[in-house]
Amino acid sequence: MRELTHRSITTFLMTLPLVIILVFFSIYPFVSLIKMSFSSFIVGKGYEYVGLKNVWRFIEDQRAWESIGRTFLYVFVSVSGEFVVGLGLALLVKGKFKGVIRTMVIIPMLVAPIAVGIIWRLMYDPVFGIINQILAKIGIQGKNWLADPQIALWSVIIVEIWQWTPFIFLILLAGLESLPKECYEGAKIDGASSWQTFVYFTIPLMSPIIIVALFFRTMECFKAFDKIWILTGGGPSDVTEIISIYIYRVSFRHNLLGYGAFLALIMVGFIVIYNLSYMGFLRRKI
Amino acid sequence: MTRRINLKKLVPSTIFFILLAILSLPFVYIMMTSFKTHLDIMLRPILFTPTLKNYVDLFFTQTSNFPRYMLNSLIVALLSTVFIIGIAGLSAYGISRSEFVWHLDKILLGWVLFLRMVFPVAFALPFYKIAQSLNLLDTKIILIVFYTTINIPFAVWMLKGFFDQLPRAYEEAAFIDGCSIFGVFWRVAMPIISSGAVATAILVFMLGWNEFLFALIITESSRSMTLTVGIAGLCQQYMVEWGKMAAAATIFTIPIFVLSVFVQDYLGKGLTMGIGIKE
Amino acid sequence: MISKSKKGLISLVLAVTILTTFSNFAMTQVKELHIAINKSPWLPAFEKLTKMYEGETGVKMVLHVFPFMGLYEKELAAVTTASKTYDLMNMNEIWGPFFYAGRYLTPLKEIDPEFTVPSHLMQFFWEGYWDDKVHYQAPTGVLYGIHVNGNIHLLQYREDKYKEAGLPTPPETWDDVLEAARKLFDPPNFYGYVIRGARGDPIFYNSMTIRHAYNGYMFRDPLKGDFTITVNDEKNVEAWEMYARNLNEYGPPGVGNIGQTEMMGLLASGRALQAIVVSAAFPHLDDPEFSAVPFKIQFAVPPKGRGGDHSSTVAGWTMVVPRFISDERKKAALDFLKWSITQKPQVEYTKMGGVPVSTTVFQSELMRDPKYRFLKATQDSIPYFSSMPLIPECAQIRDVMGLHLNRALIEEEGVRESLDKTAQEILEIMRGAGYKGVTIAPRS
Repeated sequence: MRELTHRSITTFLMTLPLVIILVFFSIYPFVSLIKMSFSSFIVGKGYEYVGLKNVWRFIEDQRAWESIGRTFLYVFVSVSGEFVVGLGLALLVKGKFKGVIRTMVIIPMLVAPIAVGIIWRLMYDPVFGIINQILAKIGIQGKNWLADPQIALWSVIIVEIWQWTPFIFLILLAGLESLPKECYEGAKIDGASSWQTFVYFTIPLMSPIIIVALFFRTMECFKAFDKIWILTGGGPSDVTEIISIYIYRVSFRHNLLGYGAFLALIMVGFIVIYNLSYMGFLRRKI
Repeated sequence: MTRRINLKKLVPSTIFFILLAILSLPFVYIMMTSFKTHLDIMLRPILFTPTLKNYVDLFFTQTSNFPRYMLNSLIVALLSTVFIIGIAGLSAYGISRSEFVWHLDKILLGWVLFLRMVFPVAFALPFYKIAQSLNLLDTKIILIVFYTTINIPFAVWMLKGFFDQLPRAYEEAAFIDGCSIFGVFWRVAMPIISSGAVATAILVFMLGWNEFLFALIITESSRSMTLTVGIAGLCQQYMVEWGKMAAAATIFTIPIFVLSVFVQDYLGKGLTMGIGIKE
Repeated sequence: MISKSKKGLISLVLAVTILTTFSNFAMTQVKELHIAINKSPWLPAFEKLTKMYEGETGVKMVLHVFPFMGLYEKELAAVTTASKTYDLMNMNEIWGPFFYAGRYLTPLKEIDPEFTVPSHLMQFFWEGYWDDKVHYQAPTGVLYGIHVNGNIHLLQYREDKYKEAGLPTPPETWDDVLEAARKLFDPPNFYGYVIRGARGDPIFYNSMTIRHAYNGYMFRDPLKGDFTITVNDEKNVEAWEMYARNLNEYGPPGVGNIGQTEMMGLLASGRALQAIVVSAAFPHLDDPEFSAVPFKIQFAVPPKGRGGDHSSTVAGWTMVVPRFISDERKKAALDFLKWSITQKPQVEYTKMGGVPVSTTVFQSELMRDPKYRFLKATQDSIPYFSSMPLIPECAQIRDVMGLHLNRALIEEEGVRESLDKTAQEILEIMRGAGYKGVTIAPRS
């Protein structure tokens, strides 16, 4: 009993450095975020409290709601795609292809986000882009990947999946490789097929890691900004305007810094709701 | 019989290499572009005379600040990764292995998550104010501190996930041998999850290495400016310097690639085997 | 006892510190100037300018160079936190009224009551001025900044192709431009006209030149305080129809996402006949590494519209002095600005790839150098300078209008519909900002 308390005090102390960092560097931004959310930025006076004005504005703001809906679609499709490809790659690589080849998989994630936007925009270009030039060589009429409102969002999602599949891959691979070997041995002796091993042993054992990977990828995906801003700036029309683009436009183009902060705060709620329902669904499945 | 086994092995490998090729093509294109002049990029997609000019302009001219930016990026990303893994490792283990009163652990986990969920745009101005009031604008120190703060949530959650996955039997054995909890953390728990810790470290390093908005807001000169800000500078108002952009992106990718290979291959393997728990 | 002596010591130290700081401020001359500026094709020219000034006066010039895409956020953070880092800030014309109305900038007369703008300085449609009474950029207003870059819209066209086809150069009217575009259109090798059609700022700026040429403006007469919205009147519709439908028919694919880079690329790679491009891009167009058609692109005053005149949209950069720095530093900053617009620095600046702001450059030997042929077109454009209405709300208006224009371009909205919707949104913005009695002008 005494030892146990001693142990819990030590473990508590272990979290202390984290707590200190959080206290020093996150309380002020939080407080000022909340203050900003219920204020309006008035030129020359700074932030002025406006009560619930931003809330009413948000409820009536059709562009905000549309972009939130679009963001859900963007995040769902991207993260699902990344998960399927990433898991597949991790299973293929597990225990094989050490070193350089294995690390080559993660290259897309390592390219600077701004360069990702610029280079893909160049590749997608209907006149100079390599994609349409290659398609033309084999006799296919290329599309206006980023200028056609029907397909622009999908073109952007392809870049997202390309860039971030490695993230899921890396985490799942680490998860797979740190699984205790004994379980596999046991399963093999019981004569389970590799599919059965996968469904009944691998997936359940991996579930904490899978959930963390998906959870964080989802969260980051909601915040995707740099590359979309460069690829399309939210256009054409507003077909690629996800919420991060809209918040940026509100804050730095419309100069409504208070309302921008409010949207950023509200989005935390949306991310939580989305993640809880997504994870709840996964938990039931796993 | 043998042939069959080979086929069984061959199919997944083939699929893997096809996928790898698809994933790598855009990067191959980036590398190709980095050896082209602007005109070649527009007019000659595949056959062209390679030039080193983009690299020379960026990294081997007196007036270019890119080597400085690169050094700054390395320092900032590396140091913040070291701090993050140290601090997050400790606290994730603490949270994973202990019962806290009043659900303090859950509060802590929620708090860090909230920090990560807020859109960075909303934190840009408050962080600028913090840096200004500490008189640390345009320093690498404040960048390291901010990167540690905003990227630590990810590491805490990841490492907690790996610790949760770890059966407690290993540690109990160590406790019986008379190890302190800190000793168990450092000598048993960390080494077992090392491949997870390594993956986390790579990802955290990458987050710091890729960060743009805070770097833009906080830095004012080549004293602290990072590579991402330098790269953004290549999108000028009237045109993007595609060739230089590609060269910068290539160079940008190499250090972290080499680091990843090294870390995954040697560190990951070395630690696990040194303890001898595996197999 | 102890505490008393301690207190005494502290106050002594404090007094000494305060005294020395103050005397320092009063006594010493400003030895360094810190300038916030963005990456651009004319940055090397500006660097040269500062080096020249350094050589002449011994004041050290420190440039803080930021990416173009981050300068606004950076400067906003600096002014809203009363940062003392910069003595001069380079500012896009649209931020000026917002920052000035926010009392973040120093009126130049406040630094030096004697200061008047020399007559040889080009007048960029009163950009840099702000009159609080009419709430508009007006000659009666206060001057808060001086242009460092006289960037304007010019028609840039392939003179050789025009001549080959036997067309008169330069094209006088937008109908001439359309005629040439139709005649020389040869897809996918050659396009007749490039619209910078990407959503937001690009299409907003790019379409302004033709709308103004057709006498289509956003407000009826803001100089007199009349903010009646005319953005959807017949003149605007006619201009926009000409641009988005007639000219666009001869444009490249993917117009909905064409930005500055793509437009410049199409011109410089010899794939397009003509476009409205900023003059500041001139150093690229003759650079053999960048352009397949060096010295073939000619500059001209943007053409006349039907029932209108020429019009050249100004898109310059202004240097401003923030409010928070000491008077000495402000004075030193203004001294540099005064020096920078004199003839010798201006000529050097132009030679290095900058766009001059002083008409004295038109008397220099550069006028005869084909490398600087844009100067002639610039000189001819001076009577036709025009700009967007620079009110603090303009950034927001630009954004919503840029959205509707882009929609019209990709045919999600009709020509008239896009302007009607723009008018409606402008009305809401103006009402929200507290402009009294603003209405949409009825159709005649």
